[in-house]
Amino acid sequence: MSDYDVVIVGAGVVGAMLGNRLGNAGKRVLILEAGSATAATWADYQANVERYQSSYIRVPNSPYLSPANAQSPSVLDIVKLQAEGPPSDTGYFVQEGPLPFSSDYFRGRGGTTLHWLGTCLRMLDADFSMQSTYGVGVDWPVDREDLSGVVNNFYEQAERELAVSAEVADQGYCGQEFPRGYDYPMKRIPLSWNDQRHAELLNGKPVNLDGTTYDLLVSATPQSRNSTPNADYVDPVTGASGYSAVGAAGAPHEGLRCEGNSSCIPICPVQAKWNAGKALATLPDTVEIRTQSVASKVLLSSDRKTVTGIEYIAYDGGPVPDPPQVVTADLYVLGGHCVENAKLLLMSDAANSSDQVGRNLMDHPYQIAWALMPENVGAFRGPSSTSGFEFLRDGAFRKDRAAWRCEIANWGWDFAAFSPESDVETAVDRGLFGADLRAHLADFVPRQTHLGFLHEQLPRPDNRVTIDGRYLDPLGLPRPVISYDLDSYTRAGMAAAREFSKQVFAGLGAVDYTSYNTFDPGYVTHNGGGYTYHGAGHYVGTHRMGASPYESVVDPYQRSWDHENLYVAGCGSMPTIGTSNPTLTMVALTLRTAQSMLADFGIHG
Amino acid sequence: VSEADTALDRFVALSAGLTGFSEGEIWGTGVARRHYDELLAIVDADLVARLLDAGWQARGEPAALVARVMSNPDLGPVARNLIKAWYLGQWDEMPRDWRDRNGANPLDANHMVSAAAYREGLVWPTIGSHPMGAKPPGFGSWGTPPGGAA
Repeated sequence: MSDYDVVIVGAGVVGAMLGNRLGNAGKRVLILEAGSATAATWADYQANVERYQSSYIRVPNSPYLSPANAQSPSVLDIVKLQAEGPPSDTGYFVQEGPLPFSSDYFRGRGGTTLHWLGTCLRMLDADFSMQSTYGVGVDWPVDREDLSGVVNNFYEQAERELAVSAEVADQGYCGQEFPRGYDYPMKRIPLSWNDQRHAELLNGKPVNLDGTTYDLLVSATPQSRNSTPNADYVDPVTGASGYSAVGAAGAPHEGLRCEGNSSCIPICPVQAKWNAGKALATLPDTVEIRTQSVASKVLLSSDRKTVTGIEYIAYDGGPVPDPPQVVTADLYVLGGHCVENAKLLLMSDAANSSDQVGRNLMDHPYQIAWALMPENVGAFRGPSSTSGFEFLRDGAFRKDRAAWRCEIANWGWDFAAFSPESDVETAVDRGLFGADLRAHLADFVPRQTHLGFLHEQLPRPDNRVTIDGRYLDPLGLPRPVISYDLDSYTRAGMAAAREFSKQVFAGLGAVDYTSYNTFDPGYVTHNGGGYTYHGAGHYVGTHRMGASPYESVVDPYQRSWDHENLYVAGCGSMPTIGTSNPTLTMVALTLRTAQSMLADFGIHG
Repeated sequence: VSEADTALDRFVALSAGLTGFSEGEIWGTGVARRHYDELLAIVDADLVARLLDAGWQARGEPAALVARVMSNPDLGPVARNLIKAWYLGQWDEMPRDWRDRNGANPLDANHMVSAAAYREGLVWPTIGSHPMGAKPPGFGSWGTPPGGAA
């Protein structure tokens, strides 16, 4: 007799989704979470808001407690790596390079959704078939019809689970199709004034790229953020009409609509932006979460065909953790971050007959172009981004270079140049004070705008997570060792993005302030040009799914090819990254996994 | 009126002259005493007294502030830090040459004065916005024409 029906490692998006689906079917579920319950109650959550406001450098992980026994990577640890130099191990990651992986994530209850932006674009059809369509990357073993439509409506379910605000009428670029009659649970988030000015000045104007002329089009972005409920919404599971917004965990009257706190990353003070804690708050009594419990080994049967238990180390605040203990179940899920899933599998010598565990690590290298508009566009108001240029997410050019999506940013040069703090410091150090200082800032800062390009990367075996006995955390468990580079396919996309940004800024009458410097940690060159990338936090690919056990770690349902009662779920299962922010697709895949797991228990429907 | 109150009055008057906000607006933040206490905790009391005297004599006149405060090698850097504190709620480490002249205080490191000082940062009303993560202006406010900048 097993201790539980299901053990899930990780109390993030995957744990929340599977915990609810399995628990509501009467299954006894244990969720092991390495980090703390930093944001579990409304009071604790508000303490995180206060911690954010009290942080001198406000980076995504600033609000959240990060125990030494469950460290998280921090963007403050990213340094420029020297060619042939030693790896950088100043933070949780050991960065072997040649380029730094520049994203963070958060280990704790709620996971990285605590500080995600919430962008919920779907993947385009070609994103599932890059090899057969463009001769690059690999094809997925699933396509749109496996995830969206009358029979398989996992994308539609995911958009309900993540409480997405958007309108299908805005999403028709690149031939994107939705089920007939479908629309999102809530109306689109209003476009910012900056978005509206971009649309007025640019929509329909030509832009020339790769020898092709396109019409510019500003598209509203689907967002996991409460807006005005869609009265005509039809629930894809129950068929019920209408939609009611879901408020904050532990404070259901808070966050029913976005209030414009303009701090989605790193924390929405009212939880109008969805986070996994909101779904964890609805878990039935049959589901238990143990925080500060670090999975340390996946135990296998002697024939290696099944998992027999999960070993984990619990710790409280004291210096000595508890001895490892083992919990058993009928089914097991690794639902941690894609780096943590890969790390645990490598530590356990599990699920890796394909030798693909840890490989094909991808991100969306995030390139910024920034400019000063000729007029006040109201920078630093509203969600970080509410629209973008999406029409170039697909095209014949993908034979040769990476596609990207381009977000229009609402927070001025915050990411590009640490505005407005740097603007104040620079002006004051220049000697401005009093009315002159005030007038300068009032003129300069609200005119700031930036374009953020999220670049596609191809799966490459040498972009990978490994472990190394020389690099251990305080529990004696391996820290992730990361090898990472940007290939010429992605770099060519960066060059195209820079060209695109110049044409857009010219069309806006904006003064281009973009500069990329050799000392930037993410500085790369291509065909004589230099460009800088940052991290988007979109880790993908470390336990990819495929049609064959020889080339992939999990099957199309995220079940391990090697161990029949083990699922490995999350963005790590995605074979390619496309240009859409990956969480929505990951949730769709995971809801499909829930169906598969329930079928394992003989529950169909 | 106690001596301490007089000093705080002078601190507010100086802060108004340095930031371009009125004394009423400075008082209205509710964090004037917090900023003053922070200044006293980091900068030598005699130097703070000199700063307040110089500011008082300048009566908020920009030219006089330049002459008596901003161009002074001891007072100017403190005044500039005070402006940054008022605008951003943060204390930046004093410049190296100032520390060499006036001594280094262990509290003189980059840090936030307080969460409230952040929320009351003057940069936000200056740019027609609100502190990120506080004082939300409401659903859809970001779609309205900007005009609050001043």
